[in-house]
Amino acid sequence: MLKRVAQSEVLYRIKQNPTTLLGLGIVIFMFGLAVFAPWVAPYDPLEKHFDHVSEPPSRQFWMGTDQFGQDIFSRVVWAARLDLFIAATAVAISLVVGSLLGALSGYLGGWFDEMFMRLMDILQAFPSLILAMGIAFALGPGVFTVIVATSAVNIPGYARLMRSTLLSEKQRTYVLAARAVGNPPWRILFRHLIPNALTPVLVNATLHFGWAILEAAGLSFLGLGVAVPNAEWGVMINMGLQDFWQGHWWAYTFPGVFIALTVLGFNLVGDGLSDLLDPRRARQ
Amino acid sequence: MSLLEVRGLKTYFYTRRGVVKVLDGLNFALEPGQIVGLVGETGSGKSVTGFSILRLVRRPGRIVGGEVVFEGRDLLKLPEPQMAALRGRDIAMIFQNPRTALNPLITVGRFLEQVLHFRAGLPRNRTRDEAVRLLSAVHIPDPERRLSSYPHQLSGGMAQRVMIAAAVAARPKLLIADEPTTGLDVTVQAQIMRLLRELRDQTGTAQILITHDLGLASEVCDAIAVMYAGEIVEFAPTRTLFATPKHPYTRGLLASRPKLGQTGEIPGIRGAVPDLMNPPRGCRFHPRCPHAFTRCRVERPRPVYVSPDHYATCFLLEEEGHA
Repeated sequence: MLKRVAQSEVLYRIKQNPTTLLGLGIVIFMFGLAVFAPWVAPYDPLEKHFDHVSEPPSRQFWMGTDQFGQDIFSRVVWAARLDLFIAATAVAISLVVGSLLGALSGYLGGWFDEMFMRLMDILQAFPSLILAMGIAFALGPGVFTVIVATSAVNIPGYARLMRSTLLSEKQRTYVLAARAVGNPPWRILFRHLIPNALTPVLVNATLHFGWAILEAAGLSFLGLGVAVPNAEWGVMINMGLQDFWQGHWWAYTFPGVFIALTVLGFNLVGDGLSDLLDPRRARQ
Repeated sequence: MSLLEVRGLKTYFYTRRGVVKVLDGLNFALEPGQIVGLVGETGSGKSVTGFSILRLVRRPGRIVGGEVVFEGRDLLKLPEPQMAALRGRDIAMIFQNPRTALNPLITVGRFLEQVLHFRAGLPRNRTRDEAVRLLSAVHIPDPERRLSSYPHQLSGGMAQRVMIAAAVAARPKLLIADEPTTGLDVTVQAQIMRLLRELRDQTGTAQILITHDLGLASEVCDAIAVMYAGEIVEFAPTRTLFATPKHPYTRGLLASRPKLGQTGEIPGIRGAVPDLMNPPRGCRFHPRCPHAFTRCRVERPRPVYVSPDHYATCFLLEEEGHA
């Protein structure tokens, strides 16, 4: 399938779609910042300029400085690296674990399916941020915590989606034909069913990327994720808000704008991809 | 010894509305190298028969009784891994709507090579040549190039040839063809039928051809089993069946075939296939049978042999003194 995506037609149709293209631009820009952070950022994100504390944007500090005299622009750039890393890892973990478990559940059926889906129901009964907070609180602050909490709350969604597409794929004749030539069950599952059920799950993953960033930043904002001096968007908003009444708008606005932009970019790309890859929606 | 002997096969479907006894004690036998047609209307249980032999009946269906003896072993008693090993190697199956029977993400070449490696036990370095040979054996032009085709790039006839190539890759002793030409052009139908026959003549593969088309079955089958409501009502060598049909249902079927130059209405069989949830008592055909009498409504008829290879389940034959 990936080969077919890479080939021409999809790329051509992305070019025809200005919002997807905009989203793609934003996403590429953010990844560019993340990769080239050391070269883009003018200062060390943790360096404290004690004679430039809480200064508004200027030619020397493009986005101003925070209450410790740290350069906000440098911090925003470095934070792109950390936040994208967290989101990518969390999405990858929930994608792999969630769809494997969902596939197994749908394929085996019976009591395993029933138990597993009820477990997913329980997980989904909590608002995801509350659940993530609970997990993060139990694990204590840190990058690892954010990744675990963010991926854990997203596993049920992937599991459910994979299970339902797999259940409909299971009814198709080629599965029967594969059994009729003597494929053992595990080959049916991994060679035939999962690859054919993967497309909607992958589309969902791009849509989820933005959410993962929001969740990760949210946890850190609440003080349950990445610890305070680190360069992370949620942490920076938290620090900026402490000076809210002094009118230091630059301290929380710029990281906020970056979060919003990144989430917007991923959502646009995700929407565009689901239109492109889902034949039912493409025909409309 | 028969290659395959089905004895008292019972396959029921446990639906929410109740138990549907699709097959309720089916019997028939198949000799090595023989092609037998299972002919019947939609819902007569002919496809379920095919799936039951391979133990591929899907839920809510379940095989609840009987024996399927293949080369002396009862397949219904085999543990599942042994059964899986037998599928595709000893007994293969092809399906209707061949394009949906191929995994859309796997190329023809990869599909065939995998079947050849895992089923026929060919070493990896020889599968490609063998795949090409198989494709040319089923008359696919330019087989080398076809190896890299995806199923959506094939026509229906082409896809069915690929399925046949895969089915015979391991030289099975029995091939079950479930409506192999449904959805194909008439000309392609004839080609596929010829191919199946050719295959039998060259490799001696016995075949069960499941179809609703008596004419089609008559072209390739050595013998035909007419199915009605989950039972075989008549079994005879093809020519005998056409020349001297014994069961009223078979006669009705033969009469309802349109003939060239015919004018006026085509005679049909009145009524509809019975609801298998509540099959009619006695002979399952009696509500539609023009000759039905009291006994048909209460007693289930047993096969009556008019000759060693021709039987029909009808009391009329007993009345005629064949029993």
